Amino acid sequence: MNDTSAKEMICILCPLGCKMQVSEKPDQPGELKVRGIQCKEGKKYAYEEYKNPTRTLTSTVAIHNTPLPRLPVKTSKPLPKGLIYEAMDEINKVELTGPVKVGTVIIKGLLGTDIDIVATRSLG
Amino acid sequence: MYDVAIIGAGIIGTAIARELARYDLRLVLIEKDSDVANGTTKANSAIVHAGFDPEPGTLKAILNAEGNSLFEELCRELNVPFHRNGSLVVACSEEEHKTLQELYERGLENNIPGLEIVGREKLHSMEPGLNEEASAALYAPTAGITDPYLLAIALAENAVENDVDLKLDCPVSAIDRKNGRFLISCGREQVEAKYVINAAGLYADKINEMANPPSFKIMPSRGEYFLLDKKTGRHARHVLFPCPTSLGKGVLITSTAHGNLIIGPNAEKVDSKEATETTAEGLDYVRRNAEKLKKGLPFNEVITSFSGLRSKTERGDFIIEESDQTPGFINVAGIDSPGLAAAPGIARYVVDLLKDISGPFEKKGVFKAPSKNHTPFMSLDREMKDKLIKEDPGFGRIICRCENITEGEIVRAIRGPVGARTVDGIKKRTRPGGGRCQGGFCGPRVMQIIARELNIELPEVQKDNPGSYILTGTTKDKSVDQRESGPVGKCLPQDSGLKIESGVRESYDLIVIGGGPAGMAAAVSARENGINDILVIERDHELGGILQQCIHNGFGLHQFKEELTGPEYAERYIDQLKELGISCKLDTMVLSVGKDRRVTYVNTSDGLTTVQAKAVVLGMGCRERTRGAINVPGTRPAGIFSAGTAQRFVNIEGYMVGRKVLVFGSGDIGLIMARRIVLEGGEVVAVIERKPYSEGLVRNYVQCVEDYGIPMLLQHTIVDIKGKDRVESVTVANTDLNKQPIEGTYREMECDTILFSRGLIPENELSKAAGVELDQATGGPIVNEAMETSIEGIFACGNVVHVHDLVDWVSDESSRAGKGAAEYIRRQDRTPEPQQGFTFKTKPLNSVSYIVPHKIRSSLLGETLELYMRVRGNHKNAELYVKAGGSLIRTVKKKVLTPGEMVSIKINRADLPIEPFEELSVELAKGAQ
Repeated sequence: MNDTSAKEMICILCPLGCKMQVSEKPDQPGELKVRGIQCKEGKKYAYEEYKNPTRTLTSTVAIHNTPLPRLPVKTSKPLPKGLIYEAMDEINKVELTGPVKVGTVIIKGLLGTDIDIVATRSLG
Repeated sequence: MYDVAIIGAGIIGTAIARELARYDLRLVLIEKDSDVANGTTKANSAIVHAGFDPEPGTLKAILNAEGNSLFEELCRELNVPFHRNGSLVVACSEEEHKTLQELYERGLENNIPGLEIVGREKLHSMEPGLNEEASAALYAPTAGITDPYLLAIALAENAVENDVDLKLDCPVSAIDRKNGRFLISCGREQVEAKYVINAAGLYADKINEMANPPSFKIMPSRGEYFLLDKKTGRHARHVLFPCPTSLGKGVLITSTAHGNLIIGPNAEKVDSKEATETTAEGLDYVRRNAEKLKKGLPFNEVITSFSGLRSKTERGDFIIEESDQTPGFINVAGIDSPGLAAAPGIARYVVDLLKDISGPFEKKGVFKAPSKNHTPFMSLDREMKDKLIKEDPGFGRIICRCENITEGEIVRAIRGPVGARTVDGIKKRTRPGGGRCQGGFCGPRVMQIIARELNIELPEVQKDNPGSYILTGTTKDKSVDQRESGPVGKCLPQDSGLKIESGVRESYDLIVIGGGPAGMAAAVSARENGINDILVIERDHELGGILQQCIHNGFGLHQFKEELTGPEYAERYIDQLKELGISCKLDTMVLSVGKDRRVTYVNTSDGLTTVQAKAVVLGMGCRERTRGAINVPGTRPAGIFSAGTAQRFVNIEGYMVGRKVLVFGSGDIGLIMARRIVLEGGEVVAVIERKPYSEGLVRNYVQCVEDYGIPMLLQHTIVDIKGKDRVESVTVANTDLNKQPIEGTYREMECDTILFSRGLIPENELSKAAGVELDQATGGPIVNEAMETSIEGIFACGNVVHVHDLVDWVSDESSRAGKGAAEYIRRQDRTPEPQQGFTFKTKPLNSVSYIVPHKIRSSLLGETLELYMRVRGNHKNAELYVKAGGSLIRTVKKKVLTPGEMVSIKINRADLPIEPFEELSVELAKGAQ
């Protein structure tokens, strides 16, 4: 039986790509019912992806005085999925002057989180 | 005020302009497009017909024969390629023998020299590989092949050098007559001339009707062609025609002047003068008809397809005459086949005609010879090459790696008397982008050179006519620093710690070709295995290869036990090269590798250099399959990119490639680029995939497509591309189980950009030229356990061997190649020990499509043997059986197997039989589809 309030998800842990239906158990708030998954790791992923989906965001920032005009960057750790577009707005505002070393923090505490934007290459 | 205005700068207009330029006349050549040779001249068979075909006594017959006889001298004077390879009209039946006889007799009447009807035996020895049915042919030794747009450009340039004014981007909108003069409105100006020569090709009727009542109508007839990779030209020693029918000369097969094979055309009446799209039906017709003449044509080496329009009229013959209504107005119209062959004859004829009309005119005191040398750099001798590089280091920098075109040649094309101003203009003159990658690699660099030379911003660079913009702006709405003059793509500063080798040496222990992940890992591993004298040669201006543009994460989990982005992964290896002091040459292109391990490279400082290596590692990587290679029909506007080229523009160069993007193919690069486009403010209309499942990793489907609400249309394909200057829309259709479009499901989707993500091809041009044996299944070299190819001392690793999905595995494999090369070099330095043990081969069976390595020498095998392979089809709960000499030694269980995920199986040496055996096979034993 399909739970109409369930969230449809695809497990990304292996090429099987199991289709899962995840919903909160009505009688046990906070506990999840996961259908369609066969392995333990998959269940763990379903919990994470349901409760706090995160993504590593990678992009570039404008840079001057370097052989290339854009510097690749990433979040220092996965970012809550809901913040991606706001994070892009912040990243797009940056305008640096080189040289820059890989790992340099470009934005400290992105959007008030403890996540930084860091350079992913040395340039200049 | 001009004496003569010539309208239309195709092969005819330019030939007339140059011929008239010999006289003391003020001349103007007016062209509607932004370049000369932009209509029929740019898309035709490029054949200089012998002239037996036209009806005797017609202008076509007279001028074809005359034109053909002038071609050799003309092309020599203008430095344009022309080869008299001769043509064969092949008969395959008794009925067709009669046609040959008729053609032969017609040819005699037309005074065509050297005609001969050859019988079966002679025919097959002259042209090996024709179908059995081919029983006789008409041989015409004077037929030849040329490059029509190079010829038209050279004619235009020489005309301009002799004071002809050329007006580009000047469509004629009106022709008025005032006081016995013509007033021509073109573009934003008015040109006054005593005489008008209408050589407007497809638009000749429209131009005629600006001054005269209608007297002829141009009926465009479309011909579609396949163009195959260089070196396939050897499949046709002559121009091969079938027997002509009432429909025309039929589908011909010939080498081009550049060694490609060209196959076509069909002949289809079309309504529009701009209908230069290709169609699935047309190309299919061409293929079927070509195979009637010769089977086994290498259609897998198609690099592009195109179509051109011929200017047919009801009269059939060329129309070259003064208008009977308007004195001084000369029509040169209806120039369809054999127009190219006749062009030099037509030019002379028109000069005589004008003399008859105007009375005689005087020859100029001095007629200047062409000042510009068009000779491609690579066809010069070594001494000339060295001289040119010394004069201008730009000739030492290869921009187009498929055709080996230098920056010097591109700059020369821009600075010529009729300089290129667009990407297509460069392509017509010097061919970058005309090769197998179709501009995927060189496109961005060619654009940078154009921008630098014309002093414009990169997004202002057009593919062809105005409106064919390639880029839609910068990322982040932030400016991009203008490149300094000088080299395109500056090298990283030398004080960055990388050991840049300067100066020429005679030999190295190890030369690694390619400084991407494969080459770097091989070099590091060779050093760790005791080889000190290593040179890494990289064609780009920095190390890292494609990783530098793969700014997404997902790299390094196996190698470094942490998740890195592409540039971070690259930098870890670059740091290792720095620490180990491994020498590199950047911005250096390897041109050839010999069996004797002599490596020839070129760069700006060393010029053309040949060095000896004890061992060579090939690590050239792969290229993307292009739109041309998969024959998607439609027009050829700007806005079509391979996903990797778009990735370079967006991530490295800082430019957006489109606003409304459609991705064709669900490979990982396509999915990752879909996300990048959305994050940079663009819209992704859909990802189209022909198969019933997404080809990329599940993670990329979820995190690049689903996360952003991008529709993925499975079991869909593109059946048409529309748009003249820039992509305007595509037609998509559902596919059946054979991935073919289903009638009745066609619908149009609006977009301005298409990204092709249709797979990668190992780049083995150097390996092939060296004589390395390749595996048909992988497209890469056949290698042994040490990654040594069929040529002793030449090793290969990474995507040049087989396309990997994880860079970590490339590094692993390349470490083995580096170690193998190190051991090989050490063995050379010692007296050889007698070979012990035995050699066995790996064999993919039942749904396993390939296995790397291919051969294993038991005596040189380490503790484990690692096999990499891919399977055909999707399988759940699968079991792979590994058998040595027929007996099962290992069963590998996999929850799921897909073609997109490479399988690696590690076999302990201890599990292999001690007794010699011949084959180690892997097969799919169990698994639900």
